[in-house]
Amino acid sequence: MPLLKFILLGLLSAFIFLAFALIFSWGRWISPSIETANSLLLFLPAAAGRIILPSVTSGLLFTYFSYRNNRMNPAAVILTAGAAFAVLFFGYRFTAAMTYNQDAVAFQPFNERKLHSTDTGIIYTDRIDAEDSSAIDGIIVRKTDSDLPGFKYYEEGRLTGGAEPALNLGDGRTIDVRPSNPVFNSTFSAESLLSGFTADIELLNIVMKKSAVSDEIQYLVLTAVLTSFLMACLLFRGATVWPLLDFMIILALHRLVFYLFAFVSNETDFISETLFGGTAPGNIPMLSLAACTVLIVLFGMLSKALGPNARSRRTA
Amino acid sequence: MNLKIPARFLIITAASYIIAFLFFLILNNFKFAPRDIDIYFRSGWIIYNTMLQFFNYLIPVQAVAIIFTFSVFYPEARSASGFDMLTTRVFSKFVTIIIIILLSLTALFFVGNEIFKPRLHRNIDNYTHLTKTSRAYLEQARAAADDGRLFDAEEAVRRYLAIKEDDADGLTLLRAVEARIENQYSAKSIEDEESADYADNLDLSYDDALRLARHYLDIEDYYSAYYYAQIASGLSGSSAESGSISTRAWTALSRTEPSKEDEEEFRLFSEKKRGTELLLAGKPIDAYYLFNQLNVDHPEDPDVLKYLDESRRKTRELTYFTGEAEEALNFPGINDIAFLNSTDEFERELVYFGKMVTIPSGTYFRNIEAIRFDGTGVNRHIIAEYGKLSGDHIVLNGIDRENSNLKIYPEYLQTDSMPELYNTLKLNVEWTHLSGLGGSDIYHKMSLIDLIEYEPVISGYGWMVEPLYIEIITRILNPCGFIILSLAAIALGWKYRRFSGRVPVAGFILLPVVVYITALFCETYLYAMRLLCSWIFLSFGKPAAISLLAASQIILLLSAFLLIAGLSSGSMDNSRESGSAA
Repeated sequence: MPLLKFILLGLLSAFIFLAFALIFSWGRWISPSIETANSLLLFLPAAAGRIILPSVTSGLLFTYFSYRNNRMNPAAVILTAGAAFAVLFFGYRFTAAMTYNQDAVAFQPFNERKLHSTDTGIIYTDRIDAEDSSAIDGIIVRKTDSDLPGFKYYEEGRLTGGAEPALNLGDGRTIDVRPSNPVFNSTFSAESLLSGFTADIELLNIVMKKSAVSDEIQYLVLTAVLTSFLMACLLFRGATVWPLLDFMIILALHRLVFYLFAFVSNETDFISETLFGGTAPGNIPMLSLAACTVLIVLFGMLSKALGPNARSRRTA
Repeated sequence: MNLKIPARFLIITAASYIIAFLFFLILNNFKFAPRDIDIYFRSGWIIYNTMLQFFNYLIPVQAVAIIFTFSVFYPEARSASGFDMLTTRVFSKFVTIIIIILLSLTALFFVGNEIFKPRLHRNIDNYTHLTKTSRAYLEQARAAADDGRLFDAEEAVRRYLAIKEDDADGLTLLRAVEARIENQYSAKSIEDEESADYADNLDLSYDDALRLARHYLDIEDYYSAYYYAQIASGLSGSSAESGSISTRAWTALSRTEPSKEDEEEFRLFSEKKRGTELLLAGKPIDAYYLFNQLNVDHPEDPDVLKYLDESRRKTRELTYFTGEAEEALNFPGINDIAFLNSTDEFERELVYFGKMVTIPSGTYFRNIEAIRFDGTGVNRHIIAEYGKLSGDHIVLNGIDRENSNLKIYPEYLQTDSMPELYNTLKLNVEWTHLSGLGGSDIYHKMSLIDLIEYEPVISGYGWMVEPLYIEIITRILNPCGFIILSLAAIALGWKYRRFSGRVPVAGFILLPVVVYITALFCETYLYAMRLLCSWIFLSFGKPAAISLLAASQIILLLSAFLLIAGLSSGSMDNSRESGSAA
C-alpha cells in the first residue's frame, strides 16, 4: 500500500512540478511582440530533469505523513525505498540522455520600438525584419554609467546565439544580452529563499546527470546514497509530539544537506587540496552526502529511542 | 489559561508580529553597514528596513501564528476518556470567527503593503543617496578649506549641514571656515528668501497689476506705479486707466529726477530705469544681472530689491541658475530615466536623464541626452549637463547667479533643424510619469495605484507593458495568497497538531526552522501563482487572464474552505485520537 501511495503521490507531485518547471523554462524565452511563441513541450527535456528529485521527495514525504500510525511494515518501507531508487536511477539516466532542444528555441528578446534594460545598459530596437527576426534595424545602445554623449546609433544589427543571445552590431562589436530575456527577467525570477533552494537542487541534478552518463558504478552508488538520505530523513517522523514539526524538520534537513552538497560540489578542488592534499579518496560530494546520511540515521534512531512513541511504549 | 480560540489567535498573532518585528530589528542592527549608510541615518535606516522586511514576510509570520494557534495552543478539554475529545467541536465553532478575523487582517495586509512599502523603499533609497552626497560635500568642504577657497568650503559645508543638521564635524568645520572668512572679508548680506518666495508666487492678472499700480501711485511710489501700469497695459493690450497711471507716474518720476550734482543718486536712478525697461522689453536675464549688481551697491534700496526678485522670477521661466540646479540635484531623486519622447511613422526621439529631482523650487535634471532618428540615421542629437522643467519643456541653458559671462548651453552634436524653442527639449510625456520610466526592475517599488496609472501609457513611452501588467495581477493576487495560505495553515496545523498533552518544547527550540520552512512554502506558493498568471496572460491575453485567474483563486479558496470543513467534521480526528490514546 505505501508503495502504491508513493507512486501515485509522486506522479501527482511530478505533474504539478512539471507544469511550473515548463512555465519557468518557457518564460525565459518569451518575447510577446514577436511571433516566436515556443511550445511548452519544447522545454520538456529540461523541465523533466529538474523535477525528478522534488517529485520523489514529495512522494515520500506525503506518503509517510499520510499514515497516522508511526510504525510501518519494514517490507513496505524497503519496497518504497526500492521504488524511489528506481525512479531516481532511471529518471536521471533517461533525462541525461535527452536532447535539450536549446537550438530549436526560437528566441527574439527584442521588440519593435521598445527599450530593453540589460545588465550592461539600455538597448532600443526600432524595427525587426518580418522575414528574418534576427535582423534588426535602428539600434540605439546606452551603456550603464557612460558619460555624455552615451547614445550610440547603429543602423542595423543581427541577433546571434539562440537561447543565449548576443547582438552583433556590424562593426565587429558584439553585445552579450544579459539577462538573456531583458523584458521578463524579473517577472520569472524567484525570491531569495526559493531561488537558493532551487539553485542547490539544480546543482545536485547536474551532478547526478553527469554521473549518469560518465561512470555507471559511481552513478549507482550516488543514487543509492541519495535514496538512503531521503529514507533516513523519514526517521524523524514521530520524533516529536507534533507531526507538523517532524515534517518541517525533515524539509529543513533536505534544505541543509542540499546546500552542503552544492557547497561541497562547488569547492571540491579546495576541499581535496586542503583535506586530502590533492588526492581525494573518492567523489567528495558523494562522500559528504553519505556522511550526512550516516549522521541523520544516528540522530533519527536516537530520536526514535527517546521520542514520544518510545515513551508511550515504555509507559504502556 | 482557558481562552477561546479567537482570543488565543489574536494574542498569538500579536505576539508573532511583535517577535517578527523585533527579530528584523535585531537583524538590521547587525546588518547595518556604516560603509554604505552614514551612522547619522542609522536609526531611520534600521526602522524602515525592519518595517519593509516585516511587510515582506507578513504572510509567513501570519501562517506561523495560525500554525501555533491550531497546532499547539488549541484549547483542550480534558475528560476521563481523553484530553483531546472536545477540540473538534471547539474547532468547528470558532473557525468561522477566525476566518472573519483573517479577512480583516487580509485587508490590513493589502492596504499596508500598498501604502507603506513604496514609501519605505523610497526612504531607504534616500538614505543611501544622502550618505553618498553628504560624504561628497564634506570631502569637498575640507578640500576647499585646505586650498583656501573659503567661500566654496562654506557653501559645501552648509550643504552638508542641510543634510546632517547637527553634525559635530560639520558644525566645527563651518565655524572654522566662517572665522577664517571673517578675518579676511567683510560679512556678506544673506539673501531674503521670503521675498524670493513671494516673487516666485507672483503671477499677476490685469486687475492685480492695475490695482498695484493704483496703490503705488497713491503712496507716491511712482517707480513701482509706472512699472505695474506698464504690465497692466501689456496684459490688456490697451487700457485707458493703465495708460493714465503710467503717464502720471512717469511725469512724477521726471519731476523727482535727481540733480546732476548728486551723481550716485542719478546713476542709481538711471540704472533702475534701464533695468525696468529691460524687464518690460522681455529681457529679464539682462535685467536680473543689472539689479543684482545694483543690489550689491545699494542693498537697502527697496526698488532694487523688488525688481531683483521680479527679474529673477522671470529669468527662471527662461533659464535656470546653475548653482540651484547643482544644489537640487544633490537631493535624492530618480536615476536613469529613459523613454521614447515622440514616435511617428517617420521619426522617433529617445530621451535619457541621468537623474531627476523634484524640490519645491522646481524639477531639475542632470545628464540630459536626446537623440532623434529615422530610417536613414540620426537627425538630431543633443546633450546638456543640466536642465529645468518649465511647463512642458525642459530648459537646457543655464546661467550663473552672479557672473553673466558664465553660461552653459546644450551641445548640438548633430542637427538638421533646431527645436521650435531654442535650447529647450519639449516633453511629449506627462512629466509626473517620468519617475516610473526606469525599466521593469522598479515596478516592485511602486504602489498598485501608480502601476495602474502607468499601464495604459507605458507602451507609448517605449517600455513593454506586459511585465507591468503581470506585476499588477500579482499584486492583486497577493491578498488572495494571504487568505488562501492562512486557511491552508489552519488546515495543516489542525490536521498535524500535537497529539500529546505536553507542549512540544522542540517546537520552540526549532522555531527558526518552523519560520524558515513556512516562509519557503509561502514563497513557493506566491511564485507559483506568479508563474501561472504570467503564462496565462502571455498565452491567452488580458481578458482570458482576468477570468482564468479569478476562477483559479476561487477554486483555491473553495478548496481551502472545503479542507477546513472536512477537518471540522471530526471524522478524521476520531481515529487519530483513539490511535494516540492507544
